[in-house]
Amino acid sequence: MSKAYKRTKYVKRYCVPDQLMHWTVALGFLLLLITGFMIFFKGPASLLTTEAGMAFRQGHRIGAILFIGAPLIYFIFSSKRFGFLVAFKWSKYDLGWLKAAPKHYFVGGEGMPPQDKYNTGQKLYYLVVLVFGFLLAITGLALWHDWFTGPLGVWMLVIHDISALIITIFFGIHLHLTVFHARERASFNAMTTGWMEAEYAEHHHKLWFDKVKYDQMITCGERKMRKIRQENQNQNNTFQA
Amino acid sequence: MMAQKTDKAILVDTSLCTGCKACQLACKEWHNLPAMEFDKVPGTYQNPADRSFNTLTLMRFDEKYDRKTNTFEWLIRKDQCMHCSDAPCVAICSTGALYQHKEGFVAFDQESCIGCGYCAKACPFDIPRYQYDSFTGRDKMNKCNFCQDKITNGEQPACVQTCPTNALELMSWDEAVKQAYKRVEQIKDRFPNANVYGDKIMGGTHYIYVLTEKPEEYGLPTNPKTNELVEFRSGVIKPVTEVLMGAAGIGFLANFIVSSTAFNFNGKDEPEDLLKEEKKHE
Repeated sequence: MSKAYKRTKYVKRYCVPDQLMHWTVALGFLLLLITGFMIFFKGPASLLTTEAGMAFRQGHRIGAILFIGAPLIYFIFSSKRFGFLVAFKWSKYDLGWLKAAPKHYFVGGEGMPPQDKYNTGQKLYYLVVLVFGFLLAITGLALWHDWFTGPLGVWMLVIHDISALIITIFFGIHLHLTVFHARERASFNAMTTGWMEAEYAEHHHKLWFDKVKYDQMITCGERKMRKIRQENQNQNNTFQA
Repeated sequence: MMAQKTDKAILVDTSLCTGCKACQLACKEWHNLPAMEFDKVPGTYQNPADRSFNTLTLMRFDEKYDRKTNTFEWLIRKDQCMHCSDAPCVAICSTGALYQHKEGFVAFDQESCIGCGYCAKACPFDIPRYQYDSFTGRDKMNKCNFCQDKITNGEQPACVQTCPTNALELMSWDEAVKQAYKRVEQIKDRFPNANVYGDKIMGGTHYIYVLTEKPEEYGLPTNPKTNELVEFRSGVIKPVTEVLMGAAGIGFLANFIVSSTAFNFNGKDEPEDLLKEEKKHE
């Protein structure tokens, strides 16, 4: 391996609970996506009538448990439980990002306003997942447990369909940009390893990078954080003494 | 869709019904459905309390006691799928397990049912019933299928065949409606509220009722309608989903091709270039 790669520095971006949550939701959603659209379209739906199809139908329920359970557990136990509120914080930079984004993602080019830990596109996707994921979960549970019969039941079905469609399109963009796009691979690596290449972070998340670049001890878990703060404190004290 | 004159229909004349439940039993017998645990339904001969996965036809007994006139009337009605011409269950069915038989009624292929439960939500008469399993949840649906196997072989449905008072009769749809109006005229003296139910709702149902009292007295909806959302789902949501998903797929492919060519010549990402830069700085 070349020297250049060895030289690449990393910054901590995701902690293990974040990664676990992300990938559990991802697995659940993939299960839901496949089995859900199999039921939605008449062609594949007729494949579900066999014993194997029966397993597929259970797949939708298992997917639902992962999709709903992981964020719920995260919300209960993580100290960063309100982290999702970032999806609702929008500023004037975001508009500039949206304008520059299409060109940037097709042929490259600069002019993207500096971004915080999550860029506008990520925030938008997060927002869509929060809103329509919530609707999917509620209507899905209603369909599963027959909370409503008659017209209200059909409403549940229609909301479920539309939410699924919107979230699927945005999921497509998310998947495409992180897995298949030539340049954004670093973002995918960050979610798998927890570390992001410093150069990429500086370029794509300037505002966030400036906050964390001197602070290599970011930061998984409060306890570790406290220990680090304590050490810094001790050092300062020694200097003063 | 409207009922065709030549469709097959069952005429139910409640004024002739004695509530013997022979049809309820014949239905079980023909469809090979097990007897259920005895349901205690107080103050009535009705049993069980409701239709179920194993009880497709149920004699409903409604006691109507009028305190003012101190009179008592017993409303008895055979309760099962109405077999609409404009059937929302057929429109919403995920797999095509429910379909319109060429004789007009709503036929049902249980093998193809995946238990999604949509039909029960679309049905204005609350007909479909499901088998539940503690592990798998809702499983197969079941409902009256007009004895489609018997009809196909030129026979009468089991309930019609067994009815001892001719309260049930199989005839063409056209004939059933004509007969129904004629009988209402004949019993008007005895039952001033007598009416025909089924010919004008849901495109014409394939069960035509002669009722001795108003439909609501029997617990039947006076003006059942297909939920507009059912049409919206098959006419708008499904095609829009197909188009949007297709368009998104093409978009991703286009982006993949354009961006990979654009960025491959962006030499900065190559390790050797980084090395060169490193040397410059040194």
